[in-house]
Amino acid sequence: MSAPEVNPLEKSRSPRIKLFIALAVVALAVGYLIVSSVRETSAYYMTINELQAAGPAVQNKKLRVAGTLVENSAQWNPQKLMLNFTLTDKGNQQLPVSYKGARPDMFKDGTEVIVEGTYTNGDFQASNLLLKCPSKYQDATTSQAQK
Amino acid sequence: MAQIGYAALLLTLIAGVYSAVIVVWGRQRRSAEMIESGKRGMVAAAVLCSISVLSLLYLVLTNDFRYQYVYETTSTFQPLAYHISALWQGQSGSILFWLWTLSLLSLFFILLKRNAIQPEFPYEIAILAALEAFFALLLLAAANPFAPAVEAYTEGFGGNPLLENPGMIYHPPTVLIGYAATAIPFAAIMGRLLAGMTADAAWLRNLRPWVLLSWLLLGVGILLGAQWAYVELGWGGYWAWDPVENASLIPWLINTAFLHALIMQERRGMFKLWNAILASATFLLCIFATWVTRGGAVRSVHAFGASSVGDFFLGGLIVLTIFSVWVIVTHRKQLKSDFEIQALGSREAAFLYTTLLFVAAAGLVLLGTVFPALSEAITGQQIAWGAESFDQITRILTPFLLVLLGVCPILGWRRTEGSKLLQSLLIPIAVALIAAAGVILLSGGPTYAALAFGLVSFVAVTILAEFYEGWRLRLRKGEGPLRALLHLITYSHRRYGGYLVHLGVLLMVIGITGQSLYQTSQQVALNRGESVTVGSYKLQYVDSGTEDSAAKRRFHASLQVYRNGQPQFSLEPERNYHYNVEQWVTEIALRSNLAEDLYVMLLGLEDNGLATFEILINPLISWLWLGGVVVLLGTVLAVLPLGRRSASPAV
Repeated sequence: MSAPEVNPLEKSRSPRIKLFIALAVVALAVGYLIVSSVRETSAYYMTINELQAAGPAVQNKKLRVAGTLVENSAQWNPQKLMLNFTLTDKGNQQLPVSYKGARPDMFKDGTEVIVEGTYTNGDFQASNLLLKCPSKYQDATTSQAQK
Repeated sequence: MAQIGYAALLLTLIAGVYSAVIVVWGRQRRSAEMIESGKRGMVAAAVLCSISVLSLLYLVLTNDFRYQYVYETTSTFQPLAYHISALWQGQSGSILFWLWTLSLLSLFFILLKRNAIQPEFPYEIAILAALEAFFALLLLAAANPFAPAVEAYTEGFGGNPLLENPGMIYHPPTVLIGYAATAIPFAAIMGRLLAGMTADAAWLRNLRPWVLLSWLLLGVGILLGAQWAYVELGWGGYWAWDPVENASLIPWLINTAFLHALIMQERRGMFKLWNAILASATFLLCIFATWVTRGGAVRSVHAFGASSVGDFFLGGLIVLTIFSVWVIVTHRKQLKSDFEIQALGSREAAFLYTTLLFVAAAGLVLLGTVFPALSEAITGQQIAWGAESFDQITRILTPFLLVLLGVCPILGWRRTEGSKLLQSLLIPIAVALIAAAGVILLSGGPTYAALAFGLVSFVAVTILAEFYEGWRLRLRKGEGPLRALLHLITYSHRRYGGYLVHLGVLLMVIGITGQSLYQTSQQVALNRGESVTVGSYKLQYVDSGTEDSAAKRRFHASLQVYRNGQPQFSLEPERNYHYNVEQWVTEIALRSNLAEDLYVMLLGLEDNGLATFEILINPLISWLWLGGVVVLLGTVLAVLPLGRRSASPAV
């Protein structure tokens, strides 16, 4: 008596479905982890205008604001390691920023700066500074991450 | 001289167009002479590119400021090495370098096929020739390295001082050659499809070294860039997840997926569609990366404004993408798999998971990079992923990668017997648990560190077990111990080269994890004579000074470092003002050993001698660079044609 023949199509379908299900489960689990991490660590881009208009509404949010360094506004206190400066953008609004940490290299008047941090009472506390490097296309970030 | 360079470029364009047209036409007419003519066209293109590059090199070395490029990238007081690197430092020079490398690699690829002319040959030539023509056109129309100077300059701008670092000499060319090399597998696979053929094992075996070449060069290039950032940019890290950095990482991740899927196609005739897509994607993403870096595509601190160079790359990217999709869709019948995955726990399945993991990683990095533009387009609000977002994702994906690395050698083809699997896993898991416990006890460290180091140990044991088993088998056959090891590695060099690469990856994971989880830092302002203690080091601020030179004003401070009360060495961090670019550049002081790096930056030096320092301790970071070297060695081992083919099939 020969064994009943297994339909080859039937046999190959089973591992395939199992595979899809297993991968889908893993993808959903990992996806969930990733989405929640990103939610916690991402920042809203705002212009200075939008920031000042929003005011208290964005109190505890992580924000990023871009602007150019106002001439002669940078003050560096070496004892306290505090850097204070003012940013401005096309709208000519001014944003005072304070940053505790290392004074970055390419920090001169007119430099484009992106500050990342929080905004309270009209003052921006930056935890991170991202500066535009002036060279043609080479990567030369000086982002000074504050732990 | 510049006229010669420009003319050579123009002739390269003509040669490229000629070759592409004549080989396709020759294929239609079944004329071997026409195809041979196209081949000679490629030889001409390579020679002409070389002439063009040599002309630019000559201009740069002689400081010929009549040309804008020379003015922007050199100065008379620049050291010789940086004169040479000026060749690839600027926009147009780097594209010319890419074209030149592409022409040489293509020529090498074509000449190697001399004895095995196959139906896809004319299409491969056509694609590579068309790409060379594209780059030549781009240079002539939008980025002419031989363009005359805008003014009458007497001194060069000298390039950016940040770029006067050995990194400038080896990082960009390595990445550029890596980019250029991705064109070869692309042309080969597309050519094979266009010729109506399917790829057999022998053909794929010959292709693999080219894939490894681009993978290795791009990977090493990225790592060199990271190391350069670490020692030059002075912020204590080596990777900031900046769009420009991400743009080069994405094709490398896809290339890794491609490399592994290719093995499956060679062994089992599977993943054919995957490979056609991955080969194209790797190449296209390199073009995309260049567009991002030069064309102002993504909003970042590196957006240098839209330029016509960017438009060219975007246009090329669109045309090439349409071409790839069209070829794959119309030839999909040739991409049917010979074999289906039979079990979730089989080696074939593990390769699928690996491919998916790397594609997912690439997709996520891409998503994060374009997220601001994407979120603005969809919700009106720009949201940016920070470096921490990417770091978190890396932490989530790394355990999966490690598990796959460790388990794959143990899995059987088609399916794995449960009992066999458990038996092989017993010792590695035990070692992993001991390592994890050790991490917690010794460092009180975060749970993630225990997980990461535990899994690293797990993988190390399984890989070393593979070496051991193979070696023991040879000993049983009567070979002497040293000979057995040598023969093991050389006869199955692709498999053991691969294992060595994986070991290198483990070392890199150790370095990355150590630095990211255990870094300590301190910022302090000191007067002369004062000291600070960080970790096991005591640093005493001894003296400081300033000097003037033609290029810069140098501010430096010297620190004497003590350990256990004994003076060990001194460090001299600097902070210099460069006149030409009117900016400050930090030169860090670094002391490395296998256990950790002591990394010191001079943040400021006041007139009264008050100096501000940032002091970092980066544990285990040297393992990242060492791991890179091991990966390099492993890849070389895998690629070299050594010994005779062994009885056991190479992976």
